[in-house]
Amino acid sequence: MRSLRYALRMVSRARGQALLRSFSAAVAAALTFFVLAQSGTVRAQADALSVGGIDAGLVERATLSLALVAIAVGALQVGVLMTRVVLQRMHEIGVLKASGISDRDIFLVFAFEAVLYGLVGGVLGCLLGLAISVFGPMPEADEALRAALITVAVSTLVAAVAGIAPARKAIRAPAVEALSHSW
Amino acid sequence: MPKLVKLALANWRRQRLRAALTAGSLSLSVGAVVFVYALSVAFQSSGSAAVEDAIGNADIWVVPAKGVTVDRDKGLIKADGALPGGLQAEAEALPAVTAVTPVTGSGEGTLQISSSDPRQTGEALAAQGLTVSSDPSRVQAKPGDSALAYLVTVNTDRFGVYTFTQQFEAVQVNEVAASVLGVVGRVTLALGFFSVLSSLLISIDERRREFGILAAVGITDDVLYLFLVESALLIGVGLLGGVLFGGLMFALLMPGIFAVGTVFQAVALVSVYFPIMLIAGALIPAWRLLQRSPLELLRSSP
Repeated sequence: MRSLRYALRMVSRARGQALLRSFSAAVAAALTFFVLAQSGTVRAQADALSVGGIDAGLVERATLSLALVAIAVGALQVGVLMTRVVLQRMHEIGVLKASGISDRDIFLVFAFEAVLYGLVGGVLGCLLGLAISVFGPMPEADEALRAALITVAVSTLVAAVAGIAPARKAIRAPAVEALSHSW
Repeated sequence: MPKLVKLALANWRRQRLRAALTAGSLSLSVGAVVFVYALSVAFQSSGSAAVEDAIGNADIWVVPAKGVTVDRDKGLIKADGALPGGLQAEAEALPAVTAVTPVTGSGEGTLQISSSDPRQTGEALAAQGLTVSSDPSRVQAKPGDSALAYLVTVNTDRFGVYTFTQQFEAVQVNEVAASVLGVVGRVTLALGFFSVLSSLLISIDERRREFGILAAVGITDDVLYLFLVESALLIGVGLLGGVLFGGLMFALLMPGIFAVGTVFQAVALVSVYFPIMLIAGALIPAWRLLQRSPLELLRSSP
C-alpha cells in the first residue's frame, strides 16, 4: 500500500508526462476496444473477405489477434519508457535505499507506476475507441462494457509484465552507486 | 566500418533492456503489417481470373445498375440484379458495334460489347440512359440510369499504364485495406514507428554529454555515423524479426493460401519504412544536437 501511494505521488508529480507515457498504450487500447465492441462490423467484413481456403471465422480471429499484437506493442512502449524513468530516478532510488526502504518496496513502486500507465492508457483508449465508434454503428451498451473491461484488463496486465524488467533494474544497483549516479 | 558496428553493438549492450524492448515492439508491428499485406496480395490473386473471364476481349462491359460482386470462393463474378430486357438488341443497333455477347460462366448476366470505336459507342450508350465510365472505382450506376457500362479499352489517365482488369482488382483489394483488419495493421505499424522514434530520441537525449565530449575533440561526423549505424542495426533487427513473425503468423493462421512469394511482396512494401525511420529517428535529431556548441552540450544535465 505504501508503495502504491508513493507511486501515485510520483505520477501526479508530473501529470503531463504521465499522460504522454500512456499515449501509445491508449492508442493500442482504443484499437482493441474498437475491434471487440464492433464485433458485428468485423464479422460482416470477415464474411466479405473470406476467400477459398479461409473461412470468415479465421479472418475474424486474425483481426482480434492483430488487435492483441497492437496492445502488446503499446505495452512494450511502456517498458521502453520505464527504462528511462528508472534511469531518471536513480538518485532517488539511492536515497530510498540508503534510508532503509526494502528492495521489494522499491520494486513495487516502479511496477505500480507501469501498471498505472497501462490502466490510464486502457481507460483513455476505451474513451477514444468510443469516440471513433461515432463514425460507425454505436456498439450495444453491454457489448461496449464487456469490451471495455477486457481492454482495460489486458492493457494493465501487459503493462505490468513490461514493467517488471525495468523495475528489477531499479533495485539491482547498490545504494552507493545509485546515489552517485550521473549520466 | 566493422569498428563502427562493434561500437554500436557496445552501445546497445549498455542499454540492453531498452534495445530488446524496442526491437521487440518494432518486430511485432512490422509483423502485423506484413500479415495484412500478405493477406491482401493473396486476396488479389484469387479474383483476377474471374474478372478476366467475365470481361474477355470486349471493348465495353455492361453490368446491371447495382454493379457486380466477386465471389472468391467459386472464382466467379456475380451480377447484382438483371440488365433491362431488350438492351442486347438495342446495343446491336448502335453505331460501330461489331458484336454483343451475353456472358456465360463467370459474369453471367452481363454483356460484352465489341466495337470498332468504343468512344462513339459509349456516347451512344450514354444517350440510351446508361452510366458510362472507364473508371472501375465507380461500382454502381448513377441513380435513375438503367445499367452501368465500363469502357474497358479506353484508358483514363488516373491509373495510367494499368489495364482495366488490374484497376478493377485494385478496387476490390481495397476492401482488405479499408477493413478493420487493414486499419488495425496500419495503426499497429504507426505505434511501432512511434516506439522506435521515442526510443531513439531517448537514447540521444541521454547521451548529450557524451556527444558533447566527442564534439569537443572534433569528431562530430563520426558521431553522426556511429549513431546512424547504431539505429540502423536496431531497426534492421526489428524489421527482420517482424518479417519472420509476420510470415510465421501468416503460415500458421492461413496455411491454405500461404506462399513465400506473397510474404516477400509484403516485405518489399514494408521496407520502404526503413529509411524513413532512420532519417526521422536518428539522422535529424542527432544532426540537430551536433549543431549546438560542444560547451552547451557538456553543460546540459539531462
